[in-house]
Amino acid sequence: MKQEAIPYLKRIIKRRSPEKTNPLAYLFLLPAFAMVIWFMVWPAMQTFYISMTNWDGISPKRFVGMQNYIHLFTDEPMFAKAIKNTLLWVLGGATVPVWLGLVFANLLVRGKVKFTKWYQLGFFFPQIISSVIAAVIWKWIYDPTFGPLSAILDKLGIARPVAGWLGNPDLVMIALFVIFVWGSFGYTTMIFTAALQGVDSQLYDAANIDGCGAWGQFRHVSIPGLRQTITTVVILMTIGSFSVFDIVMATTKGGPGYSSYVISYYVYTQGFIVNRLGFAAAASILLTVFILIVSRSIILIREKD
Amino acid sequence: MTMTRSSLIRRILVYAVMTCTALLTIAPFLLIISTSLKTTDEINIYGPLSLPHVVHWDNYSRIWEVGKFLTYYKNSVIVTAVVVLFVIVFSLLGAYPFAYMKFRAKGIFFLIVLWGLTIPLDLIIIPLFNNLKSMGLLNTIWSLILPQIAMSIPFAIFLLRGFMKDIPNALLESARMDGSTEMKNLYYIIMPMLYAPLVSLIVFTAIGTWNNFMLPTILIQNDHLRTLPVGLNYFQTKFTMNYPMIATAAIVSALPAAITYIVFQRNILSGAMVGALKE
Repeated sequence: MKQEAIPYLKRIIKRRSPEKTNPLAYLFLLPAFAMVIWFMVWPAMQTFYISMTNWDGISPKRFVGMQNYIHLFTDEPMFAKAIKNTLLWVLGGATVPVWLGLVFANLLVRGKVKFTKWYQLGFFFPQIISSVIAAVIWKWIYDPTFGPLSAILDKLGIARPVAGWLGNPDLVMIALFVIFVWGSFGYTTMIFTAALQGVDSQLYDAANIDGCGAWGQFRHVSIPGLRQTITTVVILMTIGSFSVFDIVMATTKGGPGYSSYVISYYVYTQGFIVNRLGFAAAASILLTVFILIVSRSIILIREKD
Repeated sequence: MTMTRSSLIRRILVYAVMTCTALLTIAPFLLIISTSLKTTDEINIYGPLSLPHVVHWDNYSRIWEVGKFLTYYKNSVIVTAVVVLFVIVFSLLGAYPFAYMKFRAKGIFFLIVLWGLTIPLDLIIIPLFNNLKSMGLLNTIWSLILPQIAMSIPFAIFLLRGFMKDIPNALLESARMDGSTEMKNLYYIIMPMLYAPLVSLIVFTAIGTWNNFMLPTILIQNDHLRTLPVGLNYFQTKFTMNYPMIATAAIVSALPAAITYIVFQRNILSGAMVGALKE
């Protein structure tokens, strides 16, 4: 029985393999994939296990099944706030910088603006400095006593929130989101500018003859022409918005109270400040699932149209 | 006549909008440059908006004494250089079989690359911390270098594979006929043809590594191992109210990235773009 099975299995393996497997290929892949598996794939599996344990990082792990996940959704207001803030951030991050980028790119290319390079240089500059530097600068801008924003509003005689922007639970997320938009719209503008230069200019001439104004050309030529690029940029911005951490960490540390918590910051505090590693792991798994679901849905919706 | 006038007005409007936006975007930088040249007394009297009455360069010499920015610089340079070097070598080797060789489980390997492109750092950071701890690497520079090499590889392989696929296979076939090895093909045929994307990839990986914040925040506790972003964040919590000093620190930290950007502008733009446009 066994002896018969072996040649059969061999035949299957042989049939399924490509004509010539070059063993050298695996040697080429080895260093890269050893690193990726050891420092990414394996930890991700460990996270999955840790998320189903009650662990403080020191004492032995105790298996608790889905309890952490249930607890996160039912009995953890901080996490509920973090989810709400993150989802709002994603909603804003996947739309506002994309629209700004489309409009500015259209103005640069269709408006036949000279010195395009210089404008792009200005727009893109915030993108290349680290978000920590951006956060440090904006923390000062928002400072209610020493910051330039207060000074400007006072000079103009416009009323401003007494606790500043970052100290106000209702305004803090908007204030942080402004930093994000400031840092990212130059990137979207740049990508759309490059893509727009590839759209056939005869299409615009045709639209012009058909009586389409600037808005009509934007709506009926630019947007469809950039379809693929828009999808890509929306997904990139979505993924970036889901894992926002630096801006929160370097400005408010989730405060005031926990009104500016995002999922990534929640994972950090649970995992490395209060040592509830099971919770942190469960939250990070949920974050990953969110990212996968949302980015897959965007692709599905865009392909369906 | 009316046509030209309305189109002239439109042109002026476009320029006005673009110029205002560009100025607003760089205004925060101009403001901190101005602040870094003042003293705290001057800010208390004239507020944050006034230009420095007397230009004070003192902050720029004092910053090296009050903060360990030279150490942070050194750490950032070491980490970035080593990460970039290994990412380039490993990814060139890793991308080559995807484009030019036949092997089993190619699909699974590529799935790992795609998976690595989308997962957030949060998903791996908790076990990573403990694994590095048990390997005795925590609070060493290797705890920053090794994970960042791994995390930069999926994008690098994805990108290089895309460019390699554009190079016709016939070129390699004829080289193989002449008895060239795969290693020689990669080094003498493929690498020279990938010059531009490689430069973009180097710049892209370097900036990403240089700016990384979450990883060193969690993995490094010693002040003498901090990289620039973590060091800056630590500095600002120590000097909360001394805004000229914080502004100076921000500029000193931004300088390398700014210079790199100005020198390699075209490569950075194309590097950022290939990431998005190369499907």
